Amino acid sequence: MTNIIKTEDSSKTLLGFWVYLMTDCVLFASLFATYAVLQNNTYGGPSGKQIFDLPNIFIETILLLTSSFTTGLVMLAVKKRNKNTVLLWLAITWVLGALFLSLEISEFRSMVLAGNSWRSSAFLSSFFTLVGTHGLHILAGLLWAGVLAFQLATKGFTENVTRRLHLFSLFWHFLDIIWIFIFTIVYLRGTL
Amino acid sequence: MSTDTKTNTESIWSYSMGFVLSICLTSIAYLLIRQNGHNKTTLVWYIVGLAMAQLVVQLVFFIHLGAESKPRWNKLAMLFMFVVISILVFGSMWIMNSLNYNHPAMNMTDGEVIKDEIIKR
Amino acid sequence: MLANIFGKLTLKAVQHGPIIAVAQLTMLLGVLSAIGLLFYLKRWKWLWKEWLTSLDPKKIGVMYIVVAVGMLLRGTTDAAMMRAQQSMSVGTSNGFLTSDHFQQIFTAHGTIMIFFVAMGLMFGLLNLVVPLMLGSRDVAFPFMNSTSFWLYVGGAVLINLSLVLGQIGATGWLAYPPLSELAYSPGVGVDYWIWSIQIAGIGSLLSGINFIVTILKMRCKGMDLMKMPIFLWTVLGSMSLVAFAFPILTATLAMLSLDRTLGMHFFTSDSGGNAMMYVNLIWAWGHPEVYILILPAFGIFSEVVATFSQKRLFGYKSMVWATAGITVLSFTVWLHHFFTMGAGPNINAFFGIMTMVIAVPTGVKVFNWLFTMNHGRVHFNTPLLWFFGFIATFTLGGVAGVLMSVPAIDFQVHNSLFLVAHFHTMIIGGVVFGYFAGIAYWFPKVFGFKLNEQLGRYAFWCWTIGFLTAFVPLYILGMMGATRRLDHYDASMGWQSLFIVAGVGVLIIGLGIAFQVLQMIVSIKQRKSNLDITGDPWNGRTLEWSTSSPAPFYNFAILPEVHDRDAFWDMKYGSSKSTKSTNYTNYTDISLPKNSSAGIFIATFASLFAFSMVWHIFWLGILGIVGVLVCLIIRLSDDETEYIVSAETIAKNESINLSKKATH
Repeated sequence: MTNIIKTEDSSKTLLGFWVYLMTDCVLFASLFATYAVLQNNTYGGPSGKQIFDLPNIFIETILLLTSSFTTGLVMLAVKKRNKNTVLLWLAITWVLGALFLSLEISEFRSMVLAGNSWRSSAFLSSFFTLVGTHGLHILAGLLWAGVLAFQLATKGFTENVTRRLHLFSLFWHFLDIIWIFIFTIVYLRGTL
Repeated sequence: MSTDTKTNTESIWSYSMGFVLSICLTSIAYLLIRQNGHNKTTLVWYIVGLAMAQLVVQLVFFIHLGAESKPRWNKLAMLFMFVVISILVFGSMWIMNSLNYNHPAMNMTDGEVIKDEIIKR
Repeated sequence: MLANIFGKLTLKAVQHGPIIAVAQLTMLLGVLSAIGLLFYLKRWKWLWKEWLTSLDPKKIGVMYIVVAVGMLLRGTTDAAMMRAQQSMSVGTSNGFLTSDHFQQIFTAHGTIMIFFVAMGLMFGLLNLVVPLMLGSRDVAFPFMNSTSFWLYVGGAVLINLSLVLGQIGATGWLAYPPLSELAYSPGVGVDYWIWSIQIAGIGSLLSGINFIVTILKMRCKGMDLMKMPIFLWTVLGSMSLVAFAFPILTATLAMLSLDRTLGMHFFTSDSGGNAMMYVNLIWAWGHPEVYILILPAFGIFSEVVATFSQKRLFGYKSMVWATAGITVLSFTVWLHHFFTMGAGPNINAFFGIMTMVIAVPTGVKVFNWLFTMNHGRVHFNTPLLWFFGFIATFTLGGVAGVLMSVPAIDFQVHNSLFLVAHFHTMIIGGVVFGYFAGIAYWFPKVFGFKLNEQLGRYAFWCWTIGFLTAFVPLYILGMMGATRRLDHYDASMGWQSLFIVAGVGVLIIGLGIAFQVLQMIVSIKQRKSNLDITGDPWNGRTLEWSTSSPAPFYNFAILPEVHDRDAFWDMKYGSSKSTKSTNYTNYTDISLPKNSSAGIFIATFASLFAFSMVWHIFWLGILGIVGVLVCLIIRLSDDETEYIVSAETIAKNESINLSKKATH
């Protein structure tokens, strides 16, 4: 009897998490809408064209994309219930994500040190908030991955751990999808 | 979407294919912008189109959307999300741009106002 | 920032003033008497185990309603003070409130009524009814449900705290910039406003997700979507709106907060900020919000009208489509809240037309209700009385709304008392009357005895007459040119008599509330003679009436299987007439969620974080975030969150219930 409830749990939780991801899309859409409206309000300061370092952003994009791929490899290993492979690919995903984040932080840092901070103009406020919110999500994902790795290592493939690995992979893929749009609309379009 | 049902889309093939396609789409967009060989509007259409393509690639190859069994609530939720964010983003852009009509932003010139009001000189 | 360990918080923050002191003392008295009573009756453990840490939605629902009613008292007091001020403050008199205080009062009034009264009553009723009506035992995510409730409480605590320590914003309930920016509101009022609704808003968002999954995934066997009671369709629509609109609020509040805390320029009047973008975003949330509130009320009326007409709801399919139509369309009308902001004729025309269009599905619903009653055996119980009150008032306010959907007309009455009368008619006549109907209707199911009918009738008449007396003058005043939020006006305007009439109206409403309080006391005293023995006091049509009253903690010993709409009616009289067998022994073990205090702790840390953001107490902010994360990780590392109820226990419980029914 209890078993039936647990499998039901999986499909319920998957749907619930998916609905949450949809709400997160609306959150990002609000920030995108604001960015779209305010991106030209540079208040005499620099526009994106002048401060975006496109090659660096391209590297960040490839890093994140690769980590999305390695997350897929995590899920394949979960399917085979191969604990060590899962931990390996999870660690690689984590490292790629952390590299992405550190590049982003150094990008922000150099902008601020050059005098272009979030306080300088509406454009910069909306830029830092949109990209920064994505970065915060990445940070949350890294924390989550760490906890999951620990749980997997200590408890093995329990129902909860397996389900949560699946949810994490969804979350990480979703973050890469959001990044596609940040990359395109903020950075690529911004340098035109 | 369930890890326990047989979904033949969740395979090394799908992830690798998705990865390669995404790299290509990203690189093409990046190179197009670096070369800056077309006019701005065309380039914007290209990169947005490439982004949409990559969205579909990742939804199919990474997230396996469409492989789940009925009822397809995930698809419906996503559809509703797209409707809402389209209305929100494009609606806001339309509204805020029109508001500039009465309070012209610094980059809006007199010429635009005259054209809009079809003022004859 | 590293100056003071308490950030900006000093003893000067404690509010002074005679009127404030009354409010503070009342709150203090309330809290102290609750605490005192608990000590005297030695009920702390009971409270903690039976209520606060319970993940049973039937308990959570009651707690929501208790808090919401408490906040209703504060919100109504604010209303009474506003009415009193506006009746007196004419010509040479300035009333008894300073301008700044008046502004804080109308801000608090709106914020509390929408976020803490209406949303609280709604989620309360949803928790009480949805699982039972679905034929399920719980919501999809019981722990998240508890967390949502405690986040709601956290928000309520914050906004009540602002009355004692600091202030609330003096900006209106939506806090438009640039007034709400740091330059023009340097105090903590706007920050309290932002954070109390941010915390409560996250609770709402989580609940939205919860109820969507509950309805989609936890319907009992045989209950296809087109066999669901209409109430559940309206809940599904409302929760979809919650899920997809609240993130806009979260983002917008965050951006305003970033402007105020980190010096950003989203909506400031300098450095390229655009205050109009805030208005745009906040209403992109705000319009769906009002449909979030009204849709479940419509659903309640669908159930109430059908039950008290002893007849099937007319036009089920069209009701479903009307609900779906309202849900989608509510995302297409938001600009009508700022026709006058200057977007030009094309935009105004588009949104004006969409606003007219959205009135159509509501009209469909009204006619379906009326057709339901046609040729029915109508019983004029209190729930149905609230429906009649709704028909009278909501229609009035609704046509006022259609009037304002014409931009040219709206230009004349925007931000006048005509507008204020319109939305109060919608909210009181629609939302509040609907939720009162729901409370009267489902009270026996929750507590096991009926409410006193006669006092309910008195309360209804006082509310309806009081409401009309309070707000019809406002429609007239609006037409005469009176703007909203005035704390003083010229004697020559000739408005005072109408304001006085409106004030009398509020007193009559107050009498209605007094009757409701009396009704509660008397009903409790008379409960033994009003017991609901059968569990089905109204000859109901839906599954919740198939359980005992109150329902057992596991809802259904055996999950029902349905074959038709109005599943319970079908079981009683239809082709699915179940043979009443008292020797049913096919019970199996049930797994239910254990109690959990994690929700309380998460909400406490979240509220501490919010408090730290208001007063700029750096270390407390860190503590808050870390606390939330640690509690989440601890809770989510717990693999034993459920307990088993044995088949024997269930059998025993069921036989007790059956024997109660038999000896009646």
